[in-house]
Amino acid sequence: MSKFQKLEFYAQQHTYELLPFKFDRLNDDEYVITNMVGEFHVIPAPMLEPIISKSLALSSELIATLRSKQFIRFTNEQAPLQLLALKIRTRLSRLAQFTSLHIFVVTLRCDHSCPYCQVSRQSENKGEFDMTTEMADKSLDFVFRSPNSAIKIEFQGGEPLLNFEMVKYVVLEAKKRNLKEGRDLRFVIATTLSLLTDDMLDFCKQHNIVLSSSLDGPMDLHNANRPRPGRDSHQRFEEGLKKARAALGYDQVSALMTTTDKSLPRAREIIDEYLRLGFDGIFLRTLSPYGFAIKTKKFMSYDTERWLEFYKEGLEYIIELNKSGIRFVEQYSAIVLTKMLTSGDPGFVDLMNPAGAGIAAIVFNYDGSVYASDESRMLAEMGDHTFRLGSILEHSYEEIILSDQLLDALENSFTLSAPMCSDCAFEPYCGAEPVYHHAIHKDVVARKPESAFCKRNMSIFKHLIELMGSDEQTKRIFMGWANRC
Amino acid sequence: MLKLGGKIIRIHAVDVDKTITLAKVSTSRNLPEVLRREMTYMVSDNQIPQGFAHYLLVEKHRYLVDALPLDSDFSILPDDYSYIGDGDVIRLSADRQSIRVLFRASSPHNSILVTEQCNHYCLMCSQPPKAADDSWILDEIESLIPLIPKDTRELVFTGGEPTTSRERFLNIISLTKSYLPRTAIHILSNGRSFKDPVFAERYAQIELPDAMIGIPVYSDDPTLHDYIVQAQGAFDETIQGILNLKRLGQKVEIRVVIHKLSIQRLPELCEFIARNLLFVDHVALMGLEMMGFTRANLDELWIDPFEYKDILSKSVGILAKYGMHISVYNHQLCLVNSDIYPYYRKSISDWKNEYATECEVCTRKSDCGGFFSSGIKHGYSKSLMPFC
Amino acid sequence: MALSDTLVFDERLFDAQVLQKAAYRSINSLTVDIKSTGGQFFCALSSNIGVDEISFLTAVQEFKKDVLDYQLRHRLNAETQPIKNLILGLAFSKTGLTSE
Repeated sequence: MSKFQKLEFYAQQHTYELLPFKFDRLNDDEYVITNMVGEFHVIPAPMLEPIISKSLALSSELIATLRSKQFIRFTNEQAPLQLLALKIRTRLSRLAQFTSLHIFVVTLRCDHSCPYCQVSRQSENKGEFDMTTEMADKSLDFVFRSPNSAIKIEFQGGEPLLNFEMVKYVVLEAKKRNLKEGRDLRFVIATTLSLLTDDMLDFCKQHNIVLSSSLDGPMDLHNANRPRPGRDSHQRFEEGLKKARAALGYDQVSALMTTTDKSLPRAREIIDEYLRLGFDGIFLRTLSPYGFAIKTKKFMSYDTERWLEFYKEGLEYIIELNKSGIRFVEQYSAIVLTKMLTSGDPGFVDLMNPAGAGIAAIVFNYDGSVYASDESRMLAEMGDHTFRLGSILEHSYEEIILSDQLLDALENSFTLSAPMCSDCAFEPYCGAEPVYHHAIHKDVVARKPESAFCKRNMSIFKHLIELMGSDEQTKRIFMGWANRC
Repeated sequence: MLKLGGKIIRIHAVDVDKTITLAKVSTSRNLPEVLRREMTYMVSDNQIPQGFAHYLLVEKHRYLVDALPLDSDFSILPDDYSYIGDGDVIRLSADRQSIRVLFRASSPHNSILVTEQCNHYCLMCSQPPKAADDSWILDEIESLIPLIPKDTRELVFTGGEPTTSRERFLNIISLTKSYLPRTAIHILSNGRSFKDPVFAERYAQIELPDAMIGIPVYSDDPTLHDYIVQAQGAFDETIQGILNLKRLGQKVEIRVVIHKLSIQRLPELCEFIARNLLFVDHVALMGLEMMGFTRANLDELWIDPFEYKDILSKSVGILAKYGMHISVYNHQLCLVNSDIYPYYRKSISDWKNEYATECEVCTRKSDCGGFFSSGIKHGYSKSLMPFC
Repeated sequence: MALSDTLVFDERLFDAQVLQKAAYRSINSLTVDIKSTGGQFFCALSSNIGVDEISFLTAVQEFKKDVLDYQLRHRLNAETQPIKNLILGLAFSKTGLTSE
């Protein structure tokens, strides 16, 4: 006499209910389905219609997974709804904190003249391209109006070290005000490191300032991309790196690369250069079509397909490195993977919905103009002031943050109401990019089938999903990246 | 395995009205008289202080009866109870001539059974439920708690389902906070009662300074979980209970007993936990105990841990990547992969554990938790490999 | 000379919006004119300038698949709209943005 019921006793008798989900073709044989918070599953193409029409047998193995990832539920189950609601809240919680990154363009002067530069090149000597203290003060007023408990101030240029006096001024002023504000206040200087002096390093050390620099690859590539008088950008970078690390701490200097035509065939070499110089990750960036790049048509000279090959080759190499025990992250993938594998928000300005412009980041230019994002400023340097939100000297916080330029751009580019985006399975991983689309297509939404941004990102999403599906170890590595373990 | 309860040899009680008593044991000869009157003295030699309410002697010290103070109440216990020590709490029953050791001060593993009633009927339950009214246990616990030493590090409330009588449960928890404010409290519950937001709120309002509720989730598949616990709709309510508790800032641990049924979807369960319940405070993965219902369902449940060690590694790996706190309990060290070692706990309660004959030559015996005594008796892995 | 093809869809089986969405999705390769007569939708597909025959045929094939996909999405969205609103309501109810 058994007091125990059989498994069948607990099985569901009536069919399931569908929960909201989206789907897209992953390849000829498979669909990828994504739930309301971007959890995905890959199914054989013939299974899609039965799942939706509910003709899928309740005994199918697929049922347990569909339930577990909240694609379906059985009547009266409450847990799936509560879990989805909780994850949605978690994903969106960063929004309420509002602006964190505040970029201060302290000067346009630069010792480099990179062809892809997104800021018009100016010579080292023109004093009228520097930010004034009045602008700095007003910008700091703005900064502390943000409700975010974490504030990051990033110095850009040109070359910010050419106006180090202003950098010092802003840091000291900000810290003074923060005594009362009590925010988690951090500073970054985006610099080539070529003009770093010991005094500057002392100041950075004293105030915990980290440095963000540029490394495009091995010496010949880097110097070809980034000309300066003396043609020694790479050497100066390497020297500066050593000094900065010694003075500030090994991990206090990071590097970003920019991709040009010349980079495309050399993915492994570039990564090797990063390894050689002791970095634990690389950001395989695309070339953005702003500023000098358009003027020199650099951005036209390779298309999305070629860049994707470069990205895939680089990523493959990086995965190999990880499998042999080397900790090395591809940072764009890591950002996407955070969205695919967790309910967190990586807070990466270019891949946010609603768009990161103004909400996640804001730019105070050397001339007192306020821009919704770095891209907006670059666009302005080319003569297009669409995303100039106002002047720090003339307009109030409310006038700037609530300006039509900003709000219209945010609202109109919102992916959940954009054609094609609203139905797209990959929407949870993607972002609205109003400035880019306006720059290329003259429309903040643009036609996504024509958009290189869309094409590139969709390829990346599919590629990462396929990699995870085909190799368990890769999936584990990606989980680590997504959680920054 | 320690004997915690059974018959006594003889009880000599002058005052027959005191038939069932909880008694706190002392081995101290220097207690003030005013305290002795409430306590029981454990005799070990002929220097026997006067004035205790009751005296205990084990069989081998029987001859010391003559050295007892005049007109003392005393009990003679089998030698199995020689371990009874200072600070222990026992229940003596004159009419049933029995003793039960309720609390051992020298042990890090004290658990208090709150009730044997349960709304689940788990296939591997090591404490099979009984339907009878056992509210007398709650009465006893209310007397026991004030007797427990205040420096007790940890206390576990178990069952059955401890929250079965909700009011009495809350009362016991409040009492515990009051008498044992510095003790870490671990409550083993299926979590379903906390689906009721009012009950969860009342629990939270007690504001235990250091408490965690251990809640089992055996699969990400609700049907499989419900089957394992033999209760329709269990998964749905348990999850809601967990969410309510975390919403109220209460500490929650998820417990998974690993056997042939739960191993099927263990990696999927860990992905589910990492994705949906990332905020739980701890995940405990436990080996199967060969007690209670397990033996009745052995065919469905038993799997040699050696066979699932890679699945275990994969599952733990997922939780680890997401930065969760993990412990692996009740496994033998030679049956897990080395990537488990950071999470391996030498954990079997000291009154339950033993080693197999194969273990005698093992060089890492001291790192290993050994087996449940029930496991030694009823079956364990054929793949034990002593370290050498 | 532009390549072209005409596809016919039964109005009872496909929604106009579905055809429009599929048309939008292929806008980089072809343009679609949609007319409705006698209970049927006539979709006149023309290749964009610079699109060769293979690309056009591929795009037409994609268009057909997209129509089926969007029709399925239409069904799915209609059926899950109520539960979606419920979940969003749950999600936002704790933020003070909606009343509870």
